[in-house]
Order: sequence, then C-alpha cells, then structure tokens
Amino acid sequence: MRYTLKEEGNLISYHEKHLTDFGLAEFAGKVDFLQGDISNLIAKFKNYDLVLVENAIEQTYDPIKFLKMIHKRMNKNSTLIIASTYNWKENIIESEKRVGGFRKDGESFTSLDGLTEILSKYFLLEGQQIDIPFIYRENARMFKHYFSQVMIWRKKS
Amino acid sequence: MQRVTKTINLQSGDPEEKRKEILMYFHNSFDLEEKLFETLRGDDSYFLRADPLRHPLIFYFGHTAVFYINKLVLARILDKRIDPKFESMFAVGVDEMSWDDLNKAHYDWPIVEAVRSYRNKVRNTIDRLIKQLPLTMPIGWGNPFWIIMMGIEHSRIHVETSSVLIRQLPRDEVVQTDFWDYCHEQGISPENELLPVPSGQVKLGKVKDHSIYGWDCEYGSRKVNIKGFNASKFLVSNHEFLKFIEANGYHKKEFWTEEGWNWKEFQQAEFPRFWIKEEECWKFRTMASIVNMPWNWPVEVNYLEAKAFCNWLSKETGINLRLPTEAEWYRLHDQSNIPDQPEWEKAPGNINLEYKASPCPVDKFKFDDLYDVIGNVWQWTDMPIDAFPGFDVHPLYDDFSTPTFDNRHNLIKGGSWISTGNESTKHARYAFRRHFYQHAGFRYIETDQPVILPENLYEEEPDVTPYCDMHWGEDKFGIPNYQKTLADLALNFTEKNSRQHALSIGCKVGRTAFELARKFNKVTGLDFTVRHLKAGVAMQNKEYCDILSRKKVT
Repeated sequence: MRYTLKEEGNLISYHEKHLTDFGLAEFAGKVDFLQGDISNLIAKFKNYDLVLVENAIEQTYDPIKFLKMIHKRMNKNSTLIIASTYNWKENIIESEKRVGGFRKDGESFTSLDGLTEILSKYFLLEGQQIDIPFIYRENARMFKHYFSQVMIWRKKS
Repeated sequence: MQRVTKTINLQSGDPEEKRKEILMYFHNSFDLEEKLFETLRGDDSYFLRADPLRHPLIFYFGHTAVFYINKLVLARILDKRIDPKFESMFAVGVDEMSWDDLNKAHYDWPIVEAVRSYRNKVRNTIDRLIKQLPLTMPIGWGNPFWIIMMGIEHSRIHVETSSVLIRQLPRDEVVQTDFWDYCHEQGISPENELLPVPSGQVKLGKVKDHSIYGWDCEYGSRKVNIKGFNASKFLVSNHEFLKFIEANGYHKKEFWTEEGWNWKEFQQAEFPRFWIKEEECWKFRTMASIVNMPWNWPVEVNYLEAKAFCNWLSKETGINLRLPTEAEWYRLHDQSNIPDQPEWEKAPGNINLEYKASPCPVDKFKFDDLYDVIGNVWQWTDMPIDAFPGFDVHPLYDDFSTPTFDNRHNLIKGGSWISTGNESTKHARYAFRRHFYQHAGFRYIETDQPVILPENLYEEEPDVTPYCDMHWGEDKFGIPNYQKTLADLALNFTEKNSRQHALSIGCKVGRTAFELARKFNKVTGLDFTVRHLKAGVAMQNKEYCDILSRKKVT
C-alpha cells in the first residue's frame, strides 16, 4: 500500500508498506473489510467471539444505542474491548446522546461511569481499565499525543 | 566528439578507469547537446515557442546545465552556486498538462551568448568535480557520482525532447547539418501481418544494484503472466496509417476515446503532426528537413491517435486489436533475445544515434520474427505508468516520476533513433500525457486479454494518510504501535476462548484487523468511511504480499 505524508508546507514524502514487512502476509486472506454504521448496525454483523471497538464510540452519532445492542451480536463467553479517548465529536453526537463527560444530578458523570452503567447489565468487567497512548502525526514537526482508556468486558452467560 | 556512446557500468571496474569513462561520457553528452542546437538557424530561433505548451528552446539550452548545479548543491557536493539567477530561471520546465493549458507567462530570457557562457562555466565545474571527487565503486544511489550520472542522463533525455521541439519549429528556423543527416532510404511499405508470441512470465523492474544508471521508477519488481498473443510484424507505417485517414478516421467519433475526441476537436487534427499536405501531395517533416512522404517509415502519432487507429482496424478486420501493455512489450523483448545497452557491439536497431538522424523503413531492423522491437521510434503502450512494488523516490529528485503516477501518463517503450544512454535500455520507463508528441509510434497486438489499469496509486487523502502512518509507520517517541498493542491485548485475553470470528470496529486502514487474524479464523474490519477501507484492501493486493524481502536504499 502506498501513501504520501505531509512534511512541511507543500512538501510531502512517499511511503510503501507491505504485509510481509509485519509478518502478516499469510493472514491476509482471513480479513474482510466492510463499511458499516455502528449506530445502526445491520443484522448480518453477528456471532462474534471478540468485538474490539477502536476509538469508534466517540465518533458515532448514537453510541448509547450501540453499547446497549452489541451484546446481541456476540457469542457466549465472548469478549468486548472498548478503547476510547472520550473525545465526543460535538458535530456528530448530540449532547444528550453522550455516554458521559457531563454533570448528572449535580455531580460529575464521567464517560467511564457511563460505560460502566450501560455495559455492566450485559457484561462483567475484567480487571481495571488501562490507558494506552498513541500518536497522530499532523506533519513532520507536529504530533498529537492521545491516551485511550481501554476496558475489557466478558459477556454474561 | 563521439556520437555513439554507452551508458556506464556503475557496479564494477577500476575507480580511476571509471573516472575517465565518466569524464568522457560527460563531455560527449555536453557536446551532443551543443551539436543539436547547431541546427537552429540563428539566435532568434532559440526564443520561438515551438510548442505552445512548452518553453522556447533557450530554456532547454540553459536547463540541462542548471540541473547539474542545482542537484549538486542540493546534495551538498557543491557549496557555491555559479549564477543564482540562472539557476532559478532555468530550473523548472513546463509539465505538459492539458492540451489547452497554454503557457502564457512572460519570461525575460537572457541572450544566447550569456547562456552559452554559463554552460561553459558549468562544463568546467563538472569537469573539475569528476576529476577531483573521491570515487569509490560501486556507484549507488548515495554516491556523489550518481548525481553526476543523473545530470548526464537528464541531459540526454533533453537531447531527445528538444529534438522533438526543433522538429516542431518552422522549417526555415532550422538548418540541416551533416551530423543530423536523415535516412535517405524510402520505398514501398511492406504488408503488415500478425505473428504469434507465446505465453510466458515476464519480470519487470530492476534491482537496486543493477549495473547501470536508472530513474527511480525503474526499480522494484513485478511479475506478470502473459497469455500468448499475436503481434504486428512491423510498426505501423505511414502507409498503413494512411488507410485510417482515407477511411475518414479522424472524423469518426466511434473510434476515439472521449479524451482522444476532445483533443482532436480542440486541435482540429486531420492527420499526424509531422505530415504535411501540399495540395494533393503528402510531404514529411524530419527534425530539420522536409522530404517526400516516406511511406515505409513508422508513423509517428500520439497515444490517442494510435488508440483510434487500433479501434478502427479492429472494426475493419473483426479482430480484437489494441496496443500492447508494458508487460506485453517485455514479452516481445524477451522473445527476441535482444542484448541491452551497453552490452551490444553495434546497436541491433535504429537507436542510440548509431545510424541516421531520423526514423528508417519499418522493414530494416529485424529481431527474430518481428521488426523494430527496440529503436526507430518509441512504441506507445496501453498502460499508464505506475510504481513497481518496492519503489522508492530518489531523495535528490523526488519529482521525476511521482507526478506521473496518475493514470494519465502512458508508458512508451523501445526507444527511438535519438534515444541514448538510459533511454536506450530495456528497463527505461518514460511516460507522457496521451496527447503528447514524441518520436513515437506503435505496433498493435491481437489479444482477448483486457488492459487492467494500475490501482496502487498513492493514497493522498489528508484524512486517510495520517492513519496509514499511525497503523503502518515507524513507532514514534518510543510509543509502540497502538493497533498492535490493542490487538495483542485482545489476543492474550482470548487465549483460552473460542476464536472463530472477530469484529474490528473503527478499523480504519486495517492494522488491528490483520493483527487479530494471527489467531482468529476470520476477522471483519468495519469502518464508517469507505475511503479508509480502501487502504486496508490495498494491503491485501497480492503483489504486495508476494515480496519476501525488500532492499533499502543505501
């Protein structure tokens, strides 16, 4: 796969990456890529042993609906991993549809609180949430440093 | 000066012998350009715009000299400029864009004598550098002598492209010199026929330590299995092309691509660019002369005209005819067992200025069964240029190829009578906009195989490429790859569970999904944005999975 990256001003650099560089070529055939809307996930997406949600709940227009529904698409004893920066996209998610990050009954109600409230109906939390950093490169001299919070949930039987 | 030269073997040889060889190659190249400009009638001719889309020839007279200095300064081999004003004014050519994208900018060009005097200073500087720079063998991409070779081979490209511009100048602005005498053989055009070329695999591209100089787009590797096809024995001659004109082909939209028809309508083209209609008689423009129409020479047209001809002939004959792809041209080449420059004793075709300064009859140079597999005129292919897997830009010339990877520049192969140096080698890959004129014609092939256009162009969407970097780029600030970290966490955690099917939501350009597939039997990557997914799908392209090891540029 080939891509360019912004260096500075109009200058760009050229890159080429192969699955073989990562020892992944032999697994390529096991992966399918599909477009989908998790706020309105069509029925064919089901029977999963693992659902890994990578910084997607903060970018969809109805994250609560998704969080309440996803257990129905998962197998017995399956795992749900949610990674999020809780950076709820204002132009996408109406304020009342946010999972947390606001005051509720006069007290702070964090996204962690919100996620726990919804998911604990269907899942058991495995261990503690952990923070995992990642870097988003804007150009050669500007990088954004994020911390995702990651929670692992086991589906209740 | 020496008219016939060979490009240099940069991989082996004694360093001091190599230095002499390169010095001679440099001076021969510089002389050759000056010989070419001797065909201009007077100083005024330098300032005429031969082609409304290009600079006048004065630019090219200065440009190739300026190029040496600009690249050597960029490479920090030279620390002093010779003439900063010239080195800016003569730096950037006009990239051929659309046919109506006329270059009307005003330039205050210096007089010819000033440019000639600048050229002499450059010649002395490069001469001194070649004599003094430390030379170690082999000469690879990072070696200072690679930059010298870059300047030499660049000037040789411009010898050819300027010869096309000179051919486009009014006849009375040029003089026919002995050095550039054209071929005087003319005759009846032979009847063309289709000859079988068997199936086979071709290997395109060259390795980084290939023995001769190459441009970035020549490196990498691609294997293509070619189904047998039939190829025209000769390049299409002026006489064969005349039938298309007589059948009113230039006025029948059905034979033209949409792009071709638009170009034709804009130019009001009725026949090939270098044909001249004098009352009821056809004449022909060589580089510096007007001669009787050489019916048995190859026709020189742009891609759009060649394509229309193939479509017309297909209909006439009921046979599926088209131009060969790049890979099919390699098949012809492999089949014909042609030695490559610089290995040949005497050029096996009308190439490398080893014969006359013009095309020659299409039945003069035979290779096995076919004629003119290399040389005479370039051959248009039906293939837009793209990068081979394993491609890297040369850091000192990062815009040689990449602007042409846009599915709008088609490859020409084989070289012409004036193709020298790198241009006359098998792996040379030059591509031009399809409406563009070079010393180029075509051969047609019969096949039922469709042309598959390149798909692996560069992802450039500003909201996609940062994710390409996040997923597949180097780790930054000691922070390990996020997608791999997440996937590893998931794989550790699910070790004792069923791992049939995983769903990777927000998969963007795919790294997490591929990492999960190490242990899961099936992984579905899901994203809201199709443009993100395209990059993930591109990773699955077989061509990229087949490469086992890639060499880094040194």
